[in-house]
Amino acid sequence: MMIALAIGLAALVVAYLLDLFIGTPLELPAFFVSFYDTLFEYIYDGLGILDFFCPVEYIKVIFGIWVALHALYFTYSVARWAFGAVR
Amino acid sequence: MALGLFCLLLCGCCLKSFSVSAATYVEETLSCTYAYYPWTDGVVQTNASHVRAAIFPITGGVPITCTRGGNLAGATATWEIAAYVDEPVGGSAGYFLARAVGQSEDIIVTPPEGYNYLLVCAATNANSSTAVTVTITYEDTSVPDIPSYDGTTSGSSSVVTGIQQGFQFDGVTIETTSSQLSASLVEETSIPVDNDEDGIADSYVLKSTYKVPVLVSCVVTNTSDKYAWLNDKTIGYSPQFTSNIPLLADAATTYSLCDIFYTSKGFADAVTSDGTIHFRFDDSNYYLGNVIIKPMSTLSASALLYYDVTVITTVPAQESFYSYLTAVAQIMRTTILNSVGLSGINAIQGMLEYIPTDSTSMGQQQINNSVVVQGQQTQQAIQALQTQQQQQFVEFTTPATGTDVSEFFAVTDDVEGLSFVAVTNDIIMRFVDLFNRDIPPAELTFPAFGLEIQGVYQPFWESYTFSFTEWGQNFPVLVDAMQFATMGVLCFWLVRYCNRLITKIFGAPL
Repeated sequence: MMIALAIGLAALVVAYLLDLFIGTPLELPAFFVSFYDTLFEYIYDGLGILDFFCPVEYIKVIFGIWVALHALYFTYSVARWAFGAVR
Repeated sequence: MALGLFCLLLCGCCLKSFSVSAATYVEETLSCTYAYYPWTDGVVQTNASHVRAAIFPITGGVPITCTRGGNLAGATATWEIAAYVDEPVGGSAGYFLARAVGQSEDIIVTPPEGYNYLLVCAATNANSSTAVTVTITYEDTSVPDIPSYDGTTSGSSSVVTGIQQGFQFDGVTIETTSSQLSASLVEETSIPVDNDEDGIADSYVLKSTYKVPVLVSCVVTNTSDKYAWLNDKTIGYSPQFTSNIPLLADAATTYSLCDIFYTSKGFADAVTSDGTIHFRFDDSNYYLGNVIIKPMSTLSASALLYYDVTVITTVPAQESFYSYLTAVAQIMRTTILNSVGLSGINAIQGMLEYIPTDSTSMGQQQINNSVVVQGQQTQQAIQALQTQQQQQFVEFTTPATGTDVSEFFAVTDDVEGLSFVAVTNDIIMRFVDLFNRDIPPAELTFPAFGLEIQGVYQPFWESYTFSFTEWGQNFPVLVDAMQFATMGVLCFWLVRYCNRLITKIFGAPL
């Protein structure tokens, strides 16, 4: 979990550094744009089949509860690690 | 770990500030002249002479000058002008305006409010091989002026006593102490402006129509003359208002504030015992900003004193009026009663009071200070008013974000021009938006398959679309049971996850 936190922070810093030094606007490679466009297209098409087996509205609720619980546990873990580090 | 990355990137994206590009708001340029060259809308031709007709889109209430041109040597034929509301040809709401005879006679007409088309019919007997042209010219007063008075004053030291005058700004009513007059907003419309004539509006201008009651009172000191009147050229629109207006002219002089277009709106409705004659204009729709009232009398001009004249002026007229106030050495005290209202238009009301004094240096200084302060206050109020108007206009005309799926998936310049963090945010928001859209039909398409054998394509099978919806129609109970079971699995997984979390935290399941 701490490794994930560190990697996330590093990614955030790298993102802003890229913004600073590469400059804006960022010229995205065409293949990258077409990649995630196609990916989202597939996901969107697959939502119909997913909705057939389990309504997406319910999935959204369950996913929201799961994210909230996970975020709580993540916060709890970070706090616990911080207290441990201080102690 | 992946979730940690996701959350941090999400937080990072939230830190990114976004800039909103505002739509352009084009203000109308005053004193612009539109000239149209007709004969593209309709042509009527007879054997004896050329009879032409043309239709012009106009703004009702604005004076229009129509000039007939072309090779008209010796022409004596008549030509006439009419206004129409919505249907320019064959409409039932036509309104005949004027008729002229001859080649060089211009027609100056003011179509009524609400009339949107002007039909001009012209004929000539001069030269049958030459087309008649008619040019119409008018000043566009669709957008009120922006007062630009900077507080500087100048003027002569002539003194005219017993005069009280008020004036009126665009969108601001400054009332005299003796008559409570106010302007009220009638309607607001956006008029498309198509400069390149491609049929698509390049910009919009905001046209505000106000209803302004106008009161003019004259005091007749010579009671033997029990009546006076306003000339038929007393109210109208004044595009040629200059600084050389003889506002301080001798009362004996039959003067005019300026040469303006005619409108026969004024009448004397009563002669009171004290010799006060009121000229009351009915509550017609006037455009603020260009109306000038000119009280005058041809019978007893030397005995007339004018007071309580409400003048609606253009910007240069306002400056001239300030100069006039300074020249007559009177102190102006203005109170802005209300600032910008909810609709942004009809809310600023003021009051003017003039106390006749001598034209001393002290009085001059007082006037200068007062004028500067009041000018600044009024300017600030009007600027706030116009800023709110522009914001409302931008909100009204800015299109909402598209929700079309094809638009959603399209690679636009906006996406390519974003920064790294904004791109990440864009991708995440696109993913989230997937679940907020209409669910597509549950279909599964098996692609076709074939082989090209010796240059000939041999299909093995065609593409087949398998629809899950048909399952729901054929086996509803089975599908419901399957969905119920899937939901049960999901809920069970969620409960199990909670149990695992509690076990991690507290060390043992509850």
